[in-house]
Parts: sequence; C-alpha cells; structure tokens
Amino acid sequence: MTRGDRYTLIVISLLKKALLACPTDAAERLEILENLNTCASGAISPIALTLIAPMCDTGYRMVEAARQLDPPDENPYPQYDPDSVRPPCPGRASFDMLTSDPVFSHLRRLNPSIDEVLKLCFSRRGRDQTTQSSV
Amino acid sequence: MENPRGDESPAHNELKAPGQRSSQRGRKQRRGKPNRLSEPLPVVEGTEWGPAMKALPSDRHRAFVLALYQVPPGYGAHVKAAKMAGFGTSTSSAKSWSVIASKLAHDERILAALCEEDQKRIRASAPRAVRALQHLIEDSDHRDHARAIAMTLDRVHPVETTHNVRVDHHHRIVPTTPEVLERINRLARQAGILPDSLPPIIDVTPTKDGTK
Repeated sequence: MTRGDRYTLIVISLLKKALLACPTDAAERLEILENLNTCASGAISPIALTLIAPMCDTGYRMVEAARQLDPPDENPYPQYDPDSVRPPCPGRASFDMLTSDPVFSHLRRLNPSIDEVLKLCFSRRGRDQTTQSSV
Repeated sequence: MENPRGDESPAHNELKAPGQRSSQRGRKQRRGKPNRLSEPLPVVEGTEWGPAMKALPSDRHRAFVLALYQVPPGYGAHVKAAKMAGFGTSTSSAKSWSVIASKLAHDERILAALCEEDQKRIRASAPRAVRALQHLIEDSDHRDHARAIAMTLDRVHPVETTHNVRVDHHHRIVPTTPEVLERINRLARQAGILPDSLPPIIDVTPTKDGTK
C-alpha cells in the first residue's frame, strides 16, 4: 500500500465529512461528489468507497493541524516545469505528516472503516472476495 | 655561502627551535622573511571603507582589492596584486605566489569587497560617462551620434508600451434542475452516502427550466 493510497482514504473520509457537515449549493455539492467518485480507482474499489465512513471531529482537527504545516504562501496550483530538478509539490508537509505511520494508525483507530477497506483492498483474501463479488 | 635564491635574509636556516629535529626526510625547511605592505594605506578624512572592505581581516587584503584595479588585466594580474599588497615571503616561489593569489582571488570576503568597490567606482564614474555622452551628442560627425541621441531620448522620454492582458475567469454555474439533483443523489449513493442525510442545498428551489 502506497502513501498515496493512504492519503486517498483520508481524503475520501474528509470529503464525506464535508458533504455531511457543510451546507453547500448545488454546483459545489456536485463538484465534491464528482471528485469523491474519482477517488475510486486503482487499488481502491467502488465498494471500498462506499464502506469508508465520514471522518470524526477529532480526525478533522488532526487534518487541520497537519495542514498548518504547509507554508501559508504556498501556491496550491504551481506551474509544472518538466525540467525542474525538484518540482513544486504543494501540501507536501501535511501529506508526509498524515500518511506517516503513527498519524495514519491514529486515524485508523478513529475511523475503523479504514481498517475494513484495508483488509478488503490491500489483502489478497479481500481482493479475491471483491473480484468474485464483482464477477 | 651565498643564497642561491638571492635572498638577502640569512634567517631561513635559523628558524629551527633548539632541539627540534629537521624534517623526517632530512630536508631543510627554507622560510623567508614575510613581506609587508610597502606603506600603510592612506587615510582620507571624511571617507571610510564600505562594510565589505571594513570586514576584511587586514590592510593587506584591502590593498589587494585596490591593487586589482591598478594592475593591468591579464595573465598574472592576481599575482601582481598579491605582491603589491605585501603577501608572501621573501623566498616565495612562483608556485607559492600563484597559490596565494588564487586563494585571495577566490576568498568570499574579497569577492564581496570587490563587488562593493565595483559599485562605488561605477557610481563615481557616472559624471564622466555623462560628459562623454554630451560630447558624443554634440559631435554630429561621430558614427555613434545617432545612437547617443537615441540613448538619451530613451531615458528622458521612454517608449510607452501597452500590454493587453486577457484574464478569463471560469465559474461553473450549475442550474439546479431536477436532473442535477438526481445526479447529485446518484453520486452520493455511489459514494455510500444516503441522500437524505445530506444537509439541504443552499438557497435552491428546483424548477423545470432551472430558473430560481
């Protein structure tokens, strides 16, 4: 399981929390839901997407605290330069923090549905079951 | 015995401390008398060194910086400047001089002092440049007469340029039609969210044609 997969799981539960907690207009809600559905790709199956529960308040505060590590003046949409040795990577600090072993294990404890998804998508037995059910 | 290097100082063999053995290979260490700055740098009242020149460790370093502006540029200029500034010893070989000069020329403190001195000299030579430009403008036979006029006019009345910058701001406007609401509900169900559990959509009244 890559750190990117970990981050995707965190983002899914965060988006669900945002959808349930914040009143939005139709355009915003549609955009969030479209983004949420694109998270189901690669190792994370559409079934896994439905299984992940929204993030709790404690988890949300953890994410907010991690995001404070990112420089405030960071450009969230940097121009991509293929020749650059170290291309800009906005949100790198919070990404590293949230996907680190200790923080991610705390988030797993706070949101046990992430554990279920890990078993389903990232263990061989779970993957086999998913494949059979989809067939 | 006459010193083969022509050194006037007879001290190069007397530098060994009593009881000190000569080097392990039995070679004699020749050390000359350290050179000195020929005369101390002049102090001009009302002027002082800039911060980078002041930060240099000694007057010899300052003299090296100043000497670089005096020696003719080219091969050996750094060595000449180092000699003028009183570095090295009376027995320094050509190789030693090149090492001394190279070390000095690449010292960060000296480079900073050179930069500072460059700026000072350029600023100080501005009146002369202006005078030369005036002569050029007045000399209508000079081949660069027109260029001088153009240069001056460019600075007095700079050419105005206009940039047209087009900024496109894309804002997604989604009319809240029943179809859109249906799509929202479908996507929510796909993501495992019950549509009824979602908070109400802000300020919306679904109509057939999408108008509020």
